Amino acid sequence: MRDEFQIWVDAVCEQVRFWPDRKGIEKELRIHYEDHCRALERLNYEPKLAAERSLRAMGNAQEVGWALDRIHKPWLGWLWKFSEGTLLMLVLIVLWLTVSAGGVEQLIFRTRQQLEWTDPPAWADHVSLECGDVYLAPGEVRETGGNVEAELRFWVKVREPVPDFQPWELEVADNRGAVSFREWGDGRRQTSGYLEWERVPYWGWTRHQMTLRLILDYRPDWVEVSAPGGGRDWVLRAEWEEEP
Amino acid sequence: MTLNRKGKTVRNLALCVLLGVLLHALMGFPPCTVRAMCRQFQASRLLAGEIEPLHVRHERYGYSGDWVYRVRTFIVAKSGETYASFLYSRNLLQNEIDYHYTPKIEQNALCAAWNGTIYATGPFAEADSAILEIKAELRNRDKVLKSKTFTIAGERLENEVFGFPYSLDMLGGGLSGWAPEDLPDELSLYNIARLWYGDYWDEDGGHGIRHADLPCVLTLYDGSGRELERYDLSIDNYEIFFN
Amino acid sequence: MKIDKSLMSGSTTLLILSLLAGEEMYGYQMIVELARRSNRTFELREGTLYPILHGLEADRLVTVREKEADGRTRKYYRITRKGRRALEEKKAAWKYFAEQVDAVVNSASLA
Repeated sequence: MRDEFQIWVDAVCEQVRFWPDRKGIEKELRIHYEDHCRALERLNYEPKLAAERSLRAMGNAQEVGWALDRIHKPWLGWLWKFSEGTLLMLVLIVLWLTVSAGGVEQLIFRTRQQLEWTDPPAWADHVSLECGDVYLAPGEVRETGGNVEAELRFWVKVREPVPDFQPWELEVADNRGAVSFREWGDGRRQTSGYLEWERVPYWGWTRHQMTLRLILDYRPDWVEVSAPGGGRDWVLRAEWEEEP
Repeated sequence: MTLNRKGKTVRNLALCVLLGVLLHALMGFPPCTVRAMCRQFQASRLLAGEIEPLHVRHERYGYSGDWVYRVRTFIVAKSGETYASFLYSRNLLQNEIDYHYTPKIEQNALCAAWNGTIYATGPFAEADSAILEIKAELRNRDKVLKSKTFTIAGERLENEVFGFPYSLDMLGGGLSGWAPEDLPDELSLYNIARLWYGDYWDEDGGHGIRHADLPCVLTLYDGSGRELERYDLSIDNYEIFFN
Repeated sequence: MKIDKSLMSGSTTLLILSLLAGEEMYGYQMIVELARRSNRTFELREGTLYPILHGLEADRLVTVREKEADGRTRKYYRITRKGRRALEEKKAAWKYFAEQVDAVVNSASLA
């Protein structure tokens, strides 16, 4: 059977709409009430009378409850709870990503790459697109084991962070024909070699640099890299000087 | 400085925003909207013109053991005169391009198949109707053993996109062990796309399916049935059966 | 002397902050101290103290911490720097108010 104080404090808490705060309010009021009871008992009041006097001194339950409800605003309370819950969840997800997926190492590595970017040389061929800027410059040409490796240096600066940039859909043509990228061969394209690429050394979020390596059986005079789809919406050219 | 409840809430929400940004960066900036997916695709392929989604299809799917559904978003888009099709796959917070479907980028018009529909896109605003003819061939090393042409009537999906449905009726595993020339004649496009292009790759009977471009002819008609234009396009057989 | 309650409304915050200006206190202690210092003139309905305290805490005029004593955990309230500034303002306002009331009442008496 509930005691009189419990009935009183339940009536107070009923007025407080933000129910998570009710427990704390009840505890604080109860300690106050008990302090008053003890003080009266020290003055030789009978416990029952002390309890009655203390309870009467607490005031009208509804009025106290209404006043508390005005302070413990439900909208702020729920927003606070929501913010706590969301924060905890985000912290756990970030921790999990850090521990399990190596996300932080990649983030640090690619951010460092992004910041260490150096602009391509002024003599590199350049085109400005809606999504960013692209640069191409000829690199070394080497003869190895009967093949010719012609290197191209390729820079990409885009306005969107792109987690992965692959040049496999770019159209590449040299002075003798088109170079195929596809692993399974594409009968629509005239194949005169194949292409490798290496993301070295910059691999940031919006800045990437790579070396495109054409493997041919002849030395190319020039190479053109253009937009995918065959439309030649943009074209970059790299030329090598003739061998003496 | 001690904070009251309002202060703590503001602090928590500010920290949530910061952590949200960090999380977004840790996950490699996954795009959240179709527009963002298109822009990321444009930046990763260096498409020149402003990219515009023409048709979007979302599908939920899940593997056994998954707690929540994944969502795949198939997009047909246009960038200037270049048309593209690509697929994104979302799993909880991560959303990245799904290379189970190889993106396609073509000039002037594009034909792409995904999960029961072949999409044809191009400057088709004037056309009232469209027919797609797809030719499949069964070959051995020397010659064509069989060929079949599928004719599908199109349904206009968007101003510049027609859809051509095909059935996803995969026949049972028994057929995959047959020599292709012994397969029954009556096979759907879906089954022909995998069964006519199989190769036995090793002595143990390991069987694989090679990629092949199936030529397609798209014919557009006006309201009175007069032919407007024809396009010679192609679809990779993997697009048809690998969903 | 019995005081008209309407005179008290508006000064409760000033009274509470004044109590806390000296030391940190818990709820019942404030009730007892208020009664003692005012010669039992100000005897609040005890339950109504807590909406005032919680409101002061929401406005950052006081802070609260839990402390254990006699095997019981009580909430102790302490005035903040902002609370002290607010207290000084309220004291100044009260002093001015009281002077003006005196001025009117005394001139009325002389009349």
